[in-house]
Amino acid sequence: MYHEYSALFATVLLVLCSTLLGCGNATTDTSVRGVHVPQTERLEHHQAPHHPRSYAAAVSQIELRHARIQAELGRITLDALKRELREMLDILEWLPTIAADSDLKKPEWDQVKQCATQLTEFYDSYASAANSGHRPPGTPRNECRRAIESLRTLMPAADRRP
Amino acid sequence: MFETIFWGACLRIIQATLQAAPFIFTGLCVVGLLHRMMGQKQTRWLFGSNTVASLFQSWLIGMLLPGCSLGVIPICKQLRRSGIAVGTIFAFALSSPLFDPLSMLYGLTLSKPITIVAFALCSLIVVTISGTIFDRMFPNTEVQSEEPPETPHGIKRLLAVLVVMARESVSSTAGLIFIGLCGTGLLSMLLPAGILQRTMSHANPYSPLLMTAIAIPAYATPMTAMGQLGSMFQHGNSIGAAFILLIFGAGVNLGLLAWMIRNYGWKMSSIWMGLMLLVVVTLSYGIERPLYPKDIEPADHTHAFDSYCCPFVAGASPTGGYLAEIWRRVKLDTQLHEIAGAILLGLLGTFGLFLRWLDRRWIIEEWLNRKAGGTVTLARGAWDIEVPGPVLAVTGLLSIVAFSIVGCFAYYPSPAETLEELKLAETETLTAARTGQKEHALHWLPICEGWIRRLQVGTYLRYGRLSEYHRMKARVVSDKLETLEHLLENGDSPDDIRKHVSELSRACGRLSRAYREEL
Repeated sequence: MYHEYSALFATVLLVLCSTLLGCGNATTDTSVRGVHVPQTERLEHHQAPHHPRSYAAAVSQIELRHARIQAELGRITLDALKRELREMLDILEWLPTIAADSDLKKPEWDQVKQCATQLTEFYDSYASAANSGHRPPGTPRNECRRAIESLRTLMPAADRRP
Repeated sequence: MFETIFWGACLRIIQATLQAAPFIFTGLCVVGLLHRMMGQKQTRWLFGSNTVASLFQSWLIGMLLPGCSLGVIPICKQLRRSGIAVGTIFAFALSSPLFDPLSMLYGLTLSKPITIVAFALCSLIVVTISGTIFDRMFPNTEVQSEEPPETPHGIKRLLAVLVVMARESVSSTAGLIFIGLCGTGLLSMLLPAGILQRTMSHANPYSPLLMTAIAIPAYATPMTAMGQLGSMFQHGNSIGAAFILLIFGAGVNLGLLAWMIRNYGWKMSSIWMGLMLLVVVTLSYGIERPLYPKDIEPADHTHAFDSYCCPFVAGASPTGGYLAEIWRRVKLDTQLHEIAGAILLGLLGTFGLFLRWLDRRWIIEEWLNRKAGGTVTLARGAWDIEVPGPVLAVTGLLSIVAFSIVGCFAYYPSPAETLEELKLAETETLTAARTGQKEHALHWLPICEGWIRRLQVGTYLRYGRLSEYHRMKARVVSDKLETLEHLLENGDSPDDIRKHVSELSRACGRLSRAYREEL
């Protein structure tokens, strides 16, 4: 008998406690998904400042940063290099999503994905060297140049608006 | 404020009841088959008992059968009556509500299907470790009960299954299910509207622990839990918290805990729960880093848990009153299979109450179990064979599994059909957003999101694959829909909204082209 009622008792107790403790809400409200939600702060997806707005902007950023990293590799501080590499890798990671938000068709998108993977592998090796306190060798592979060139050639196809 | 809390809890309980109805009905069907067709001995053979192999068997059966944590309560009672060890029962109870074919397909088309596979394997680890330790600690938990008399084959046997289902629906099971449903009401009382929106971040080491506190009293169907996992992945929330949501949110509820305490006492139940907590929380911290998606920019909020909080804001009562608002929302949210489940449960319950009333005069089981008298034997055709009960029971269980697989094709239509539905929803949303009809747009937004998910799953189901390109196209539209939702709820300028609507419209066009022409 004890076991039979103990669970029920615990539940009733919890319900009573919650009724007494049920706390207040924010002042203004709005309706989201059929649910009234207190609106104390703006809800939004924050984008990093270096997040490119379009495929063309992303490719330009990659090209620019690639040239800058190669040119200043021996000159900038290790911390600045690390930051530059992290941002470059971020852009490469976002590139497939940004390309999916363009007019590129499947074979073209697959090409973008392949180039992004190639460049990521290359810059990953740079980033690991920089993170372990070494300066990466300043000799970019030809594949990198070809990958960036390939990304550039897809720019007109990314915006087919008449 | 009391009104807000009270009516909020009522709405949550009604919503959970409707969501649970088809699963409870399925659970009762399984009980009927096990009780009258399978029998106790064969049930023990099917599930096993007190061995590591039995834990795996139960986990596998649980994964195949569609169910939810409320629907497993009557099945657990039946397994106990069949003399199965408690570790094995818990292994089934925990695994059955986690996945079913509908939710598994949904999960496999999320951005990282490997995460869902890993979650399924982790659930096997959880039931194996906690079940093995528990069965070692308490080796003699098999209850011996009398096998019910066999019902003669034919229509009587089928009617006997229905009688078991009806009786079970108005037995202590109903009370336990109600306790489970109260958990959702309890959470809604404790959590003000939207309070969990900025929780469960990947960076917060306490996210899995907070989720544990919320998920245990919560009730979620496998599809709801999977949808919430999808939202958590999309927002870059804690993976450990997502795992706990699946195990405890979908797998456990207050009713199931009450059943354990009632049958096994506080000590055993606490030890089992302690073991579960230890294994699940340890695993959740272990998978946090390896399974975290790297290509996601974490959002600082999530809507995944809004449904666990109070649906109303204190001091801002709905225009037409709480009852009218509850009715409006129930009408909007309830799906066809939920209505069908609720009607079937209602009919079963009515039949069960009628049987109780009838028991005072005539016990139907006496008639059902009575063998036909007389010595006259009719000539039987070659195909008129007597099928043993266990064969019928296994066929019945397999039919339930097959039905849930066939149901997937209905729930996830072909891409062409889904795109038509999506087009309708999209037109409603975008027109409403453009013309400043905020409420109308906010109503249609989740419908659009739902069709985008179904588009992906329907494609995967029919083509056996879903390319990363197609996933990305869908993700872009989903992200833009969510941004539109935020623009609307933040009250941004009409110009900003119109600009975003135009971007969204283009993205929808590209999505449609990708799924029509490039599959």
